[in-house]
Amino acid sequence: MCKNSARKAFWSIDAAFALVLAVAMFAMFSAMLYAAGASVARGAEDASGSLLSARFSAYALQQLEAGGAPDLQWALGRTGREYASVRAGNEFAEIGARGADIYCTQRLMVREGKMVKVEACIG
Amino acid sequence: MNGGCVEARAADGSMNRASRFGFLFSLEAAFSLTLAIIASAYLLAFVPQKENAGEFLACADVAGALVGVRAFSSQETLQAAVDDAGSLLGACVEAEGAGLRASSCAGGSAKERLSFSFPVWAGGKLQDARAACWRAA
Repeated sequence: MCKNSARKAFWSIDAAFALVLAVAMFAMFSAMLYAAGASVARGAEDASGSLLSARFSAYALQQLEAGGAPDLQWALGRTGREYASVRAGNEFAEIGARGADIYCTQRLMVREGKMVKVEACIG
Repeated sequence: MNGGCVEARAADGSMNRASRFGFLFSLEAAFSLTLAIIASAYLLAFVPQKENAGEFLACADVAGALVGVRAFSSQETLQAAVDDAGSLLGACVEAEGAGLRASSCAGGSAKERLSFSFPVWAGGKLQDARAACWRAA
């Protein structure tokens, strides 16, 4: 039996390469799982924020069409958020501290026979 | 093992070139490489889908607003209303109904468009109308 060859076969470049690949794959899969988790969390937060903003815009539009003004304080209390604003044409109202994650929805309504853009933001 | 030791060397004792580099260009390596390329190509499929609830609501509002401003009374009124809605929302808007048709900008494939059908009162009767919205290029 060729002892030197046997040791070489055990510690071959192929084996070393496989070991490096195994470590690299493990690290890569860990990083990928972490990134996927972070991405899903961010996506869920975005979906939640934009859907909340869409519902908030529906409330604002309903109030504006009824000739009133949306109660931003009430909206903040109901949603547990920290910032809300509504812009209807040249009118603007806001409440709370404007943070980094603000979700806005643009809507359109008819006021005095003219189209007006309504933008409702919440964050 | 001993046989492999002997076989790996040529008659003059030098290492067989094919054996030395065989592990790099083996069938297994080629197969792994193919699989890796296929897997990498599938990474492109993981594109986050854009949520468009806001666009859907805004386009529904366009349909309601066109009725609200009585846009289907003449071609000029419809064109002005469509242009107005398009510029307010920063999107392309197209409306069709009561024999009239107006668009704020050209283009927009069927896949990109959000369309709504709604009834309008024009010419003394209820008629079908349609409003479509899509993002400006």
